[in-house]
Amino acid sequence: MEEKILEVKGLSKKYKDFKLQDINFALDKGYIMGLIGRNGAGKTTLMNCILGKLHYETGSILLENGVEQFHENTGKEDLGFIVEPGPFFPGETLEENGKMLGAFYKNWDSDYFVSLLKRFELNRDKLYYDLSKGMKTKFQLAFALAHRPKLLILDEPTGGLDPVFRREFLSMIQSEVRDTMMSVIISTHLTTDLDKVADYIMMLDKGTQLFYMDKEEMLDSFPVLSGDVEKLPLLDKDKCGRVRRKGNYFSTMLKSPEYLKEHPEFKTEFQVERTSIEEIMYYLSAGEM
Amino acid sequence: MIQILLSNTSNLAIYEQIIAQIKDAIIKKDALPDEPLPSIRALAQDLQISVITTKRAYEELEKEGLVYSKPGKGFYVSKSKTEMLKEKRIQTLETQMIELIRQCKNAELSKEDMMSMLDVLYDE
Repeated sequence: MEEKILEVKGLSKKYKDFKLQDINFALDKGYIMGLIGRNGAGKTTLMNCILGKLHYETGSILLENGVEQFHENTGKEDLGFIVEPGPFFPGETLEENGKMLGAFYKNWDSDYFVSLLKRFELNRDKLYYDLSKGMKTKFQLAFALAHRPKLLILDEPTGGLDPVFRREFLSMIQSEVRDTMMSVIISTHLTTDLDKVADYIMMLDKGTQLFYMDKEEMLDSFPVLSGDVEKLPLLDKDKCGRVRRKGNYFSTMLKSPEYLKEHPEFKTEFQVERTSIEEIMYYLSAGEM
Repeated sequence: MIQILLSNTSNLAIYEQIIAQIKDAIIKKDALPDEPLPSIRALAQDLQISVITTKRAYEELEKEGLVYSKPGKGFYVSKSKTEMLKEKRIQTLETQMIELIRQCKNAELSKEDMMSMLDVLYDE
C-alpha cells in the first residue's frame, strides 16, 4: 500500500485582490508532483501554505500520519525547500550557513552536506552573498537534501540554471527520490522538466485548481483537435479550451476525454493528438494572452 | 537483458515506446519467460522519465497478459503469450508485405526484380 506524505483538503487563502480557492489533493511517498499555471495563478501561495509560512483561513494541510501542519512544529523538520529568497545569511560562508541553520533539523547530516557541496563544485569557504543565481540554487539543494526531508518543495528551482545542470539537477532529484522515497513538489514554467520527471500534475488558474491527476491520465484527458475551420461548428464551445486559428486551420483542446468518447466521429473529422504539459497549459489558461 | 532506448522524435508516447520495445525483446527472446523486468523505479531512473509513465507501460503489458506481477516483487515475462505475440507480429508483417508488393507492381517491378532486390538487401 502506498503511504501518504501530504494531504490538502479544502484549502483557501484570501488576500485583498487574490484568492486561492478550495485546493484538494494528496501525494504519496516517493512521487514527484508538478505545479503549473501562469504567473499569479497561486503556485507560490500554495507552496508557502504547505511550508507553514502563511496562515490559511479554511481547510487543512495534513503531513505524514495526519499531523496538521498548522499546529504542529515537529512536521516542519521533514520539509525541505528551495524558495526565493532563501533563509540564508549572506555574510557567512556556505559551511557556516550549513552549521547554523542545519542545527534546526534533527536529521541534519553534515557529512552529506559537505559531500554535496563538493559534488556541486561549490567552495565551502565562499560567502553566500558571492554566489551566482545558479550556485545559490545548487547550495539550497545541498542544504535541503542534507537534512533528509520527506517532502521537498521547489519553487521555480531550475529558472537560473543552464540546460546541462538542469538535467543533472532533475536526475539528482530523481535518484534521491528513488533512494529515500522522499516526495517532491516542484513548480516551474519550464514544463519540459515536468514532461520528464513529474508523476502528478496540478494546474492552477487564477487561484482555482483546474485539475490534479497523474501525468499519463492528464495527457489522455486533454486531447488536441485540429482541422478545417469549417468544421469548427461541430464542436461545443463550452467543452473546448482556447481556439487557435491559422488561415483555414484551427486547433483547440477538449476539456475532457468523455466528450471525445461521446462523439466517436471526431476521430475521423479532426486530427486528434496526445500532446504535452505546455500545450495543455496554453489551451486551458483563462483569459488574454 | 532488455535494452530500452527512447526517442524524442517518435510519434509514439513514451509509455508506448517502452511497451513496443519490451514486446520486441520478448519476441527476440532477449527477455525469456519468468525473467524479471527492471523495477519500475530503476527503469524510470535509467530513462530519466517519471515513475508513473513506467508504471503505465507495465500495467498495459500486464493487461495484455504479456507480463505478470508478484506483489512486492515486481514484474515478470509471461510464458504463454510469447507465441501469440509472434503470430501477431507475423500477421502485421504480412499486411506490410502485401502493401509492399502492391507498390512494387505499381512501379512495374517483376517478381524476379523483387527477389533479386531482396537477395541483395537481406544480407546487408
